[in-house]
Amino acid sequence: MVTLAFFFLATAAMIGALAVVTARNLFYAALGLLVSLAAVAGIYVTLDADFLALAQFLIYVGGIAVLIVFAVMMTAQINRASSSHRLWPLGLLTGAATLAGLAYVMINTEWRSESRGETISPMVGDASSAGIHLPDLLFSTYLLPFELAGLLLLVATIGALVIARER
Amino acid sequence: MDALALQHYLLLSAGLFAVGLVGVLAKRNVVVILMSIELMLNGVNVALVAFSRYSPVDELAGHIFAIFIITVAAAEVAIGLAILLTIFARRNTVDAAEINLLK
Repeated sequence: MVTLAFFFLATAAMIGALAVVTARNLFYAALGLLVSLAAVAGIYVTLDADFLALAQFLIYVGGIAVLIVFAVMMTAQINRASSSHRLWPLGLLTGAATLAGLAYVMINTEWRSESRGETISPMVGDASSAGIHLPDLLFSTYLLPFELAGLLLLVATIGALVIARER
Repeated sequence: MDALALQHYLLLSAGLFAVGLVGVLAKRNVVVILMSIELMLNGVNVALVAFSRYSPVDELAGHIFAIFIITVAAAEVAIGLAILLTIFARRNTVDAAEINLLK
Protein backbone atom coordinates (compact mmCIF):
# COMPACT_ATOMS: atom_id res chain seq x y z
CA MET A 1 0.00 0.00 0.00
CA VAL A 2 2.70 2.46 0.99
CA THR A 3 4.80 1.21 -1.92
CA LEU A 4 1.94 1.87 -4.30
CA ALA A 5 1.42 5.35 -2.84
CA PHE A 6 5.13 6.07 -3.13
CA PHE A 7 5.31 5.17 -6.80
CA PHE A 8 2.16 7.15 -7.58
CA LEU A 9 3.45 10.21 -5.73
CA ALA A 10 6.95 9.89 -7.17
CA THR A 11 5.52 9.75 -10.69
CA ALA A 12 3.38 12.81 -10.00
CA ALA A 13 6.37 14.69 -8.58
CA MET A 14 8.53 13.88 -11.59
CA ILE A 15 5.79 14.77 -14.09
CA GLY A 16 5.25 18.07 -12.33
CA ALA A 17 8.98 18.76 -12.31
CA LEU A 18 9.29 17.96 -16.00
CA ALA A 19 6.33 20.25 -16.71
CA VAL A 20 8.17 23.12 -15.01
CA VAL A 21 11.10 22.75 -17.35
CA THR A 22 9.32 21.80 -20.59
CA ALA A 23 6.01 23.70 -20.54
CA ARG A 24 5.75 26.38 -23.22
CA ASN A 25 3.11 28.26 -21.27
CA LEU A 26 4.48 29.82 -18.10
CA PHE A 27 1.24 29.27 -16.22
CA TYR A 28 1.38 25.53 -16.90
CA ALA A 29 4.92 25.53 -15.54
CA ALA A 30 3.61 27.09 -12.31
CA LEU A 31 0.85 24.47 -12.12
CA GLY A 32 3.46 21.74 -12.66
CA LEU A 33 5.44 23.15 -9.75
CA LEU A 34 2.29 23.06 -7.62
CA VAL A 35 1.67 19.39 -8.47
CA SER A 36 5.30 18.50 -7.77
CA LEU A 37 5.35 20.24 -4.39
CA ALA A 38 2.07 18.65 -3.31
CA ALA A 39 3.36 15.21 -4.35
CA VAL A 40 6.52 15.74 -2.30
CA ALA A 41 4.28 16.53 0.69
CA GLY A 42 2.69 13.11 0.14
CA ILE A 43 6.16 11.56 -0.04
CA TYR A 44 6.86 13.01 3.41
CA VAL A 45 3.78 11.22 4.72
CA THR A 46 5.13 7.90 3.43
CA LEU A 47 8.34 8.72 5.33
CA ASP A 48 6.49 9.23 8.65
CA ALA A 49 7.30 12.94 8.55
CA ASP A 50 3.82 14.20 9.30
CA PHE A 51 4.83 17.63 10.51
CA LEU A 52 7.03 18.22 7.48
CA ALA A 53 4.22 17.16 5.16
CA LEU A 54 1.95 19.73 6.79
CA ALA A 55 4.65 22.40 6.67
CA GLN A 56 5.31 21.58 3.02
CA PHE A 57 1.64 22.05 2.20
CA LEU A 58 1.27 25.28 4.15
CA ILE A 59 4.51 26.95 3.11
CA TYR A 60 5.19 25.62 -0.37
CA VAL A 61 1.76 24.87 -1.82
CA GLY A 62 -0.05 27.59 0.10
CA GLY A 63 2.65 30.25 0.11
CA ILE A 64 5.49 29.94 -2.34
CA ALA A 65 3.47 28.50 -5.22
CA VAL A 66 0.85 31.26 -4.89
CA LEU A 67 3.63 33.85 -4.77
CA ILE A 68 5.12 32.44 -7.97
CA VAL A 69 1.72 32.39 -9.70
CA PHE A 70 1.40 36.08 -8.75
CA ALA A 71 4.82 36.77 -10.22
CA VAL A 72 3.89 34.93 -13.41
CA MET A 73 0.79 37.07 -13.77
CA MET A 74 2.44 40.37 -12.87
CA THR A 75 5.31 39.94 -15.26
CA ALA A 76 2.67 39.42 -17.92
CA GLN A 77 4.60 37.32 -20.37
CA ILE A 78 2.45 34.24 -19.97
CA ASN A 79 1.85 33.82 -23.64
CA ARG A 80 5.42 34.29 -24.64
CA ALA A 81 6.95 30.87 -24.73
CA SER A 82 9.29 30.20 -21.86
CA SER A 83 12.27 29.81 -24.12
CA SER A 84 15.63 28.19 -23.54
CA HIS A 85 19.15 29.42 -24.02
CA ARG A 86 21.07 28.84 -27.22
CA LEU A 87 23.26 26.57 -25.13
CA TRP A 88 20.40 24.53 -23.64
CA PRO A 89 21.81 21.15 -24.77
CA LEU A 90 24.82 21.85 -22.56
CA GLY A 91 22.47 22.32 -19.59
CA LEU A 92 20.64 19.13 -20.46
CA LEU A 93 23.96 17.28 -20.68
CA THR A 94 25.06 18.61 -17.29
CA GLY A 95 21.74 17.57 -15.76
CA ALA A 96 21.92 14.09 -17.26
CA ALA A 97 25.51 13.64 -16.12
CA THR A 98 24.58 14.77 -12.60
CA LEU A 99 21.65 12.36 -12.52
CA ALA A 100 23.76 9.47 -13.80
CA GLY A 101 26.53 10.15 -11.30
CA LEU A 102 24.14 10.51 -8.35
CA ALA A 103 22.18 7.40 -9.32
CA TYR A 104 25.39 5.37 -9.69
CA VAL A 105 26.63 6.38 -6.26
CA MET A 106 23.24 5.95 -4.60
CA ILE A 107 22.65 2.46 -5.94
CA ASN A 108 26.17 1.14 -5.43
CA THR A 109 26.79 2.47 -1.93
CA GLU A 110 26.15 0.01 0.87
CA TRP A 111 23.94 2.15 3.05
CA ARG A 112 23.90 1.15 6.69
CA SER A 113 20.19 1.62 6.63
CA GLU A 114 17.48 -0.27 8.34
CA SER A 115 13.94 0.89 8.41
CA ARG A 116 13.10 1.53 12.03
CA GLY A 117 10.47 -1.12 12.63
CA GLU A 118 7.96 -2.17 10.05
CA THR A 119 5.21 0.11 11.30
CA ILE A 120 5.08 2.69 8.55
CA SER A 121 1.74 3.98 9.77
CA PRO A 122 2.28 6.56 12.49
CA MET A 123 -1.06 5.65 14.06
CA VAL A 124 0.20 2.17 14.96
CA GLY A 125 3.83 3.07 15.49
CA ASP A 126 5.43 3.86 18.81
CA ALA A 127 5.14 7.53 17.93
CA SER A 128 8.88 7.89 18.42
CA SER A 129 9.38 9.44 15.00
CA ALA A 130 7.79 12.72 13.99
CA GLY A 131 5.70 14.80 16.33
CA ILE A 132 6.87 13.66 19.73
CA HIS A 133 10.41 14.87 20.05
CA LEU A 134 10.75 17.05 17.01
CA PRO A 135 9.78 20.15 19.05
CA ASP A 136 12.00 19.08 21.95
CA LEU A 137 14.95 18.87 19.59
CA LEU A 138 14.06 22.16 17.92
CA PHE A 139 13.89 24.03 21.22
CA SER A 140 16.99 22.54 22.81
CA THR A 141 19.79 21.36 20.53
CA TYR A 142 18.79 23.51 17.59
CA LEU A 143 17.54 26.54 19.51
CA LEU A 144 20.09 28.99 18.07
CA PRO A 145 19.44 28.05 14.40
CA PHE A 146 15.73 28.21 15.16
CA GLU A 147 15.99 31.76 16.46
CA LEU A 148 18.24 32.72 13.57
CA ALA A 149 15.65 31.34 11.14
CA GLY A 150 13.06 33.61 12.73
CA LEU A 151 15.43 36.57 12.35
CA LEU A 152 16.10 35.59 8.73
CA LEU A 153 12.37 35.58 7.97
CA LEU A 154 11.99 39.02 9.54
CA VAL A 155 14.89 40.39 7.52
CA ALA A 156 13.56 38.78 4.34
CA THR A 157 10.09 40.25 4.90
CA ILE A 158 11.41 43.77 5.46
CA GLY A 159 13.90 43.38 2.63
CA ALA A 160 11.26 42.23 0.17
CA LEU A 161 9.02 45.16 1.15
CA VAL A 162 11.84 47.68 0.71
CA ILE A 163 13.00 46.24 -2.60
CA ALA A 164 9.55 45.97 -4.16
CA ARG A 165 8.32 49.34 -2.89
CA GLU A 166 7.01 51.76 -5.46
CA ARG A 167 9.35 54.69 -5.88
CA MET B 1 6.07 -6.02 -4.77
CA ASP B 2 9.25 -5.52 -2.81
CA ALA B 3 9.34 -3.14 0.10
CA LEU B 4 10.49 0.41 -0.24
CA ALA B 5 14.20 0.92 0.29
CA LEU B 6 16.25 4.01 0.90
CA GLN B 7 17.39 3.86 -2.71
CA HIS B 8 13.88 4.53 -4.05
CA TYR B 9 13.71 7.81 -2.18
CA LEU B 10 17.26 8.74 -3.10
CA LEU B 11 16.58 8.16 -6.78
CA LEU B 12 13.47 10.33 -6.61
CA SER B 13 15.52 13.00 -4.91
CA ALA B 14 18.24 12.78 -7.56
CA GLY B 15 15.61 12.99 -10.29
CA LEU B 16 14.02 16.13 -8.85
CA PHE B 17 17.46 17.69 -8.34
CA ALA B 18 18.59 16.93 -11.90
CA VAL B 19 15.40 18.28 -13.48
CA GLY B 20 15.76 21.43 -11.40
CA LEU B 21 19.40 21.74 -12.45
CA VAL B 22 18.47 21.50 -16.12
CA GLY B 23 15.85 24.21 -15.56
CA VAL B 24 18.32 26.53 -13.85
CA LEU B 25 20.96 26.06 -16.55
CA ALA B 26 18.82 26.01 -19.68
CA LYS B 27 15.90 28.41 -19.18
CA ARG B 28 15.94 32.13 -19.85
CA ASN B 29 12.89 33.24 -17.90
CA VAL B 30 13.90 34.20 -14.35
CA VAL B 31 10.56 33.00 -12.93
CA VAL B 32 11.22 29.52 -14.33
CA ILE B 33 14.74 29.61 -12.91
CA LEU B 34 13.31 30.40 -9.46
CA MET B 35 10.83 27.52 -9.79
CA SER B 36 13.66 25.18 -10.75
CA ILE B 37 15.63 26.24 -7.67
CA GLU B 38 12.61 25.28 -5.59
CA LEU B 39 12.59 21.88 -7.27
CA MET B 40 16.26 21.34 -6.43
CA LEU B 41 15.70 22.28 -2.78
CA ASN B 42 12.76 19.87 -2.65
CA GLY B 43 14.91 17.07 -4.02
CA VAL B 44 17.48 17.69 -1.30
CA ASN B 45 14.74 17.72 1.34
CA VAL B 46 13.44 14.35 0.18
CA ALA B 47 16.94 12.89 0.55
CA LEU B 48 17.38 14.38 4.04
CA VAL B 49 14.05 13.09 5.33
CA ALA B 50 14.65 9.66 3.77
CA PHE B 51 18.07 9.40 5.46
CA SER B 52 16.44 10.41 8.72
CA ARG B 53 13.75 7.75 8.33
CA TYR B 54 16.10 4.95 7.40
CA SER B 55 18.97 5.76 9.74
CA PRO B 56 19.82 2.96 12.18
CA VAL B 57 19.75 5.32 15.13
CA ASP B 58 16.71 7.25 16.23
CA GLU B 59 17.67 10.54 14.71
CA LEU B 60 15.52 13.45 13.62
CA ALA B 61 18.28 15.78 12.45
CA GLY B 62 17.16 15.26 8.85
CA HIS B 63 13.72 16.63 9.68
CA ILE B 64 15.26 19.65 11.41
CA PHE B 65 17.49 20.36 8.43
CA ALA B 66 14.52 20.07 6.08
CA ILE B 67 12.57 22.57 8.18
CA PHE B 68 15.43 25.06 7.96
CA ILE B 69 15.76 24.51 4.22
CA ILE B 70 12.05 25.22 3.78
CA THR B 71 12.47 28.42 5.82
CA VAL B 72 15.41 29.61 3.78
CA ALA B 73 13.63 28.70 0.53
CA ALA B 74 10.65 30.84 1.55
CA ALA B 75 12.91 33.79 2.31
CA GLU B 76 14.82 33.29 -0.92
CA VAL B 77 11.68 33.20 -3.06
CA ALA B 78 10.28 36.32 -1.41
CA ILE B 79 13.48 38.32 -1.99
CA GLY B 80 13.97 36.86 -5.47
CA LEU B 81 10.49 37.78 -6.62
CA ALA B 82 10.78 41.26 -5.12
CA ILE B 83 13.99 41.85 -7.06
CA LEU B 84 12.37 40.36 -10.17
CA LEU B 85 9.34 42.66 -9.94
CA THR B 86 11.58 45.70 -9.48
CA ILE B 87 13.67 44.76 -12.52
CA PHE B 88 10.53 44.11 -14.54
CA ALA B 89 9.09 47.49 -13.58
CA ARG B 90 12.26 49.26 -14.74
CA ARG B 91 13.48 47.24 -17.69
CA ASN B 92 10.29 45.45 -18.76
CA THR B 93 11.95 42.08 -19.11
CA VAL B 94 12.32 38.86 -17.14
CA ASP B 95 14.85 37.36 -19.53
CA ALA B 96 18.03 36.35 -17.74
CA ALA B 97 20.04 37.01 -20.91
CA GLU B 98 18.86 40.62 -21.07
CA ILE B 99 19.38 41.44 -17.41
CA ASN B 100 23.00 42.60 -17.52
CA LEU B 101 23.04 45.56 -15.15
CA LEU B 102 26.24 44.39 -13.53
CA LYS B 103 28.20 43.94 -16.72
